Amino acid sequence: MYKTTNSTLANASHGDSNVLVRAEGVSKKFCRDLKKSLWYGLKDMASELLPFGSKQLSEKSYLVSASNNGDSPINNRTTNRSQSSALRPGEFWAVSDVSFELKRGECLGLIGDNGAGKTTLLKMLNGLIKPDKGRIEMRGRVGALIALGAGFNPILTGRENIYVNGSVLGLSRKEIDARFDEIVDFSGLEEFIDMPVQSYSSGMQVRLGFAVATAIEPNILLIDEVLAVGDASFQSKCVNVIKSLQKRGVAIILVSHDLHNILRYCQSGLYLQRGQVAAAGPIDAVTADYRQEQDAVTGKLDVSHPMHSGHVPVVSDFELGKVYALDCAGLRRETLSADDPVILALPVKYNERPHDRVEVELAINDVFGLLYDVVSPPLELPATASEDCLEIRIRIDQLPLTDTKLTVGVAIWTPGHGVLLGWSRNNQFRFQGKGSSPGRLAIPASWDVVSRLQDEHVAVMQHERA
Amino acid sequence: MHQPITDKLVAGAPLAIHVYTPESPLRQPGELLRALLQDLLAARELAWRLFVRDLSANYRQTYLGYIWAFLPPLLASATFIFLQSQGITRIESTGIPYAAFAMMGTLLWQIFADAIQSPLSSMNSGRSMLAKINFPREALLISGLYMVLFNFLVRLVLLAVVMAVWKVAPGRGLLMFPLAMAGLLACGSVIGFLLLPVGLLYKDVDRGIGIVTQVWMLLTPVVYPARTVGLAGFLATWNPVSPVLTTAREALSGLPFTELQAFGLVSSVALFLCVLGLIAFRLVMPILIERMGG
Repeated sequence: MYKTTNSTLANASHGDSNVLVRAEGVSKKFCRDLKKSLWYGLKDMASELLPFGSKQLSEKSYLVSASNNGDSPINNRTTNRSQSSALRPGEFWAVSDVSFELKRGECLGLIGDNGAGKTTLLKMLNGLIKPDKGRIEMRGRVGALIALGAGFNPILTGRENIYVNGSVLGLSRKEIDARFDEIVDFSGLEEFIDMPVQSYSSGMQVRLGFAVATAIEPNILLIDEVLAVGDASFQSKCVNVIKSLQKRGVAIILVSHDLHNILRYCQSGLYLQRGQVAAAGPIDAVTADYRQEQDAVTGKLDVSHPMHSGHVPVVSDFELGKVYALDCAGLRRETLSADDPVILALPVKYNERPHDRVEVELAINDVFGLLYDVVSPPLELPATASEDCLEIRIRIDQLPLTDTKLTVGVAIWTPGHGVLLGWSRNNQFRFQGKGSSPGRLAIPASWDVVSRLQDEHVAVMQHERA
Repeated sequence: MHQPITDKLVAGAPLAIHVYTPESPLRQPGELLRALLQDLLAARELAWRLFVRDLSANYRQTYLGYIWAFLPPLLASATFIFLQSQGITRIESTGIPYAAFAMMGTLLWQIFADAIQSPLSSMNSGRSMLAKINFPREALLISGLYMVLFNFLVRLVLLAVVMAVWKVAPGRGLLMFPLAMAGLLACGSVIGFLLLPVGLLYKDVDRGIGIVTQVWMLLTPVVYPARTVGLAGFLATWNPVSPVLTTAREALSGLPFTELQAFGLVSSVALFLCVLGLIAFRLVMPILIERMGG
């Protein structure tokens, strides 16, 4: 890992100086076994200190002679470490082939399950560990809201700890002096600032750490799941801080499980699954993919059933197809809309009906979770339906939602929620709502300005449709 | 956050660029040295803060306070002084009263032992910071060094008292004392550096250091003058710490210098290795941090 302040060097190789973060093919491997991992550590250190071992030289010369396509020297060097491209026994790729770019003022949301490689990727971006493959370029001062309160010693007072923590984060004494009052004010701990930190609650300690971290002025900010600290008023301060940073052109990478935060700040997203990029692009699409994956894993239906394509008959001789949408005339439509009734149809096929009556359960999810769940009264099934023409339909007169992406699941039960006969899941639809507000519902509301001193003789009613 | 920063961000002034690749930084030695010096400069203030923090924290909750800094070596030498005064041991030709000889020896040795333990212990105490935050890591080493120096100064006071009580006058050799101390610190630090990579990965080192330094103390002319014959003589000749410790004591006690050449050799090698150690430290830390969790 090396650092250079020669910005012209970087400009020559990549022209856009607005790109603050660039990751190309970044990969990192870890070892599962502790003892092996320590042993590999010793070996890696040895090869780090002696990079000119004969194995490496012979590989390099092979590459140089074999490739005539004019690879730049940098590319040659990054690929000739024999260790970095192969997995030794017990190793696995914690991060594999991640590439993205981030410009000034942009926010990238990094989502994925626990263990997907998000924190590892963040550590590489922060310069703490080296990638095993690929290249990372960070332009400008990097700040991190990752470990709040680093360097805190509980015996010291809050005041002293602000100086220590600020110093660890790279602030000089002058800078801390200048911002001291602001930091204390932000944390809300004025009256306790001269007490030892061990007398603070854990929430107070974290708030103090966060407050110090906000005093850094980074060009790139890395945030790892720390936005959930503090009470509501503190939370709203955090929101303002992040928003103002964005306005000032700070590039932000946010790791969070809270989709509300991700959707609030980020324009683009990266969904990691076991270290690989499962989805990348505009944040709506990426969060929808993530949500869909989450639902597929933790359905409220019996998870032990095998999940094939999502249209699974549990009973043989009971085939279910993909759910599709219809308009009022019975013709298929691609998207759903708030202006028209929502009519969903599930095609069903069987030789002999599994039961004379069935109950159908419909669940509609959006990105945040379950929106609507309804169970039908017992419906009568015809005796046979071997031709492809039987549909189970539901009609909802109006779904008052804003623009969103919906996932529909249908389950068919014997009456009394008895036996599960089959289900059809992960049916996705685009929904055209009435306008797009941050909320999920688009319901008309009426407004009034009323003087309560004039009891029944209320003056003019002013209606304004929301 | 303050307004002035807007100009810095928007005006398009050249920003520092960090590039991270898998290759070893040794392939770009000029860059490596430049980054090392930059970090050392940036680390000064942080190292001081960490040192002040550790010092305040150490002594704020103790009753005896700074007395703890020289209690261990004092007690160690008290054992030997007792043995000698009772005639159980018969150590001769020390040149100065035995009590002063032993105390000086143990105090100087303690400084050396501190220097060995300092890198590993300051890294261990900073584990959570290392695993999560990018900051100049040399600051941990430097703050450890400050702590060693502080403890040394406290012990120096005690040394001065000892010299006053037993009427040991240094003479002109005192000028060599700072050099001898630097040599002692360098030797200790080099060993501390060597222990660092293995010590951060395997806990054996932490547990073993105390025992090893105790044994080593007995194999070095700390509480007895250097021998020239026999196993002890062999050890005295080849033990790299002996000339340094002996020279330091001679500088303080006004005795003639007996091992200046060896001292010079050992010290300069140690200083050189310290520099190499700093560079190796930079190269090796990312690999250790991967495995340190936090």
